[in-house]
Amino acid sequence: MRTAALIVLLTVPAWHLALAAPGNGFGLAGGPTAHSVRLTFLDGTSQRYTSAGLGVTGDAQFVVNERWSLDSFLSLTLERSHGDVTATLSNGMAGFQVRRWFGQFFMGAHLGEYTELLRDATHAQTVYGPGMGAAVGQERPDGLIWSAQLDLPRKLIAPGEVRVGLLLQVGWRWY
Amino acid sequence: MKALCALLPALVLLATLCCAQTAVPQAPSAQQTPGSITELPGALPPAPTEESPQTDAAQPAAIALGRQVWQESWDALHGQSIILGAGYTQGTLKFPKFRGAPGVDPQVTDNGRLTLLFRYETTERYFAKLPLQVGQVAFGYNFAGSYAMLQVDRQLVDNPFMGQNLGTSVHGNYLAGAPQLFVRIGPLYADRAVFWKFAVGLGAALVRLHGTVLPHNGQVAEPVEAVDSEGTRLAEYITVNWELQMERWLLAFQSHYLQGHAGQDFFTYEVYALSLGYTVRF
Repeated sequence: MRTAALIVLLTVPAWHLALAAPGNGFGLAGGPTAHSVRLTFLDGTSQRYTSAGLGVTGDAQFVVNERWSLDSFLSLTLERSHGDVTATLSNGMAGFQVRRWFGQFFMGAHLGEYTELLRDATHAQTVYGPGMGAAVGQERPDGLIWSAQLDLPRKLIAPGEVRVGLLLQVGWRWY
Repeated sequence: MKALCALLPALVLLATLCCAQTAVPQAPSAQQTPGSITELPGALPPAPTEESPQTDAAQPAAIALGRQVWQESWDALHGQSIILGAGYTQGTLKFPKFRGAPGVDPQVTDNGRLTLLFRYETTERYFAKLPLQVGQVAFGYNFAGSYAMLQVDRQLVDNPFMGQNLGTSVHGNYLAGAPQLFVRIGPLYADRAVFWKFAVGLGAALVRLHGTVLPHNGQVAEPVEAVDSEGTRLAEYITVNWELQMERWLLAFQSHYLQGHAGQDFFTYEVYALSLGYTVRF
């Protein structure tokens, strides 16, 4: 416990030495992504599948001040699912995120509209609905950015529905 | 292990300091980033910080000049606008309680198609503004109108989103208008008119439609039934827009919802569209 406290005490001032304010600009990032889906239908049957693939995000960041920024973003993924559903699918998202900055690092929370296009050998379907999520990341002054994003879409395809998405990204921001 | 624990804070501190030392010379505030606003004529000065309080007497003038640069982007938004473009759209027409029968709800979609974008907007009015480092957040209202074709020919059978060609189709068009509330943020760059806008509107639409549907989705053995608005009918209209405006170009995600009556049948029409348009202001 004392060690942990010491780490915090020693790290926080050093962290602030690396402060740099966020900047306005377009950003483009991509990386691995995964989704886990569990659907429970009215008749009691259920489906569970997970998917993994690659995602790409484009965003526009508007800085309020050194501590806060507003970020509108679009994400698109291409994934392959396993489990009760074996298919190629694509998840899309249009969202708006509020970020709290700690130097180069940020924590964000967002709301968005989510879509999933799923296509297998027999059929294709699109589902859509609102959702929310959170993210942490870093944006360096030279433009390099990375983030880890968690999403909780709420798609209205089944009464009992749990969807979780994870997106890890590295990219660039044009200040 | 204890020794490692004791060393850990020092290692973390050392690593962080190294990062800081390499970052600080290249890590000016965002305003000093190459290509950023301080290098632009009349750009905003760096925001005051604890490390560098601004005592320069010229600051107010610099701030005013910086504001003048991005204000020009806002001024360019003034006026009415017509947006012309094209996009990818999916529209789904539904008839809940078809012919008054509960549980009978034929639904016909287009499975997605290319469409044209025709939109008109009145001058934007703002009732609240919040300052940003560059630009501002503005809450406002205006009136938006649009025209679109309705062409659905894939009836939903066992899938809530993708229909099948069963020989049924409904064609028509609608002219919709709605006062809308919006939030506009920007510009993204001091000298570039790049804005993000989110708008929600509630209004009315003039709808014409006619065609045929299978009363029970997927029961191809039964005879098709005609649906007809019998001329132009008034419908309720809800619109939600997510837009990125880049100079005169507009990237828009839109959803529209209409509901009304076609003859004796109540209908809803849901549209989701991704469009690219060009804005003409006058």
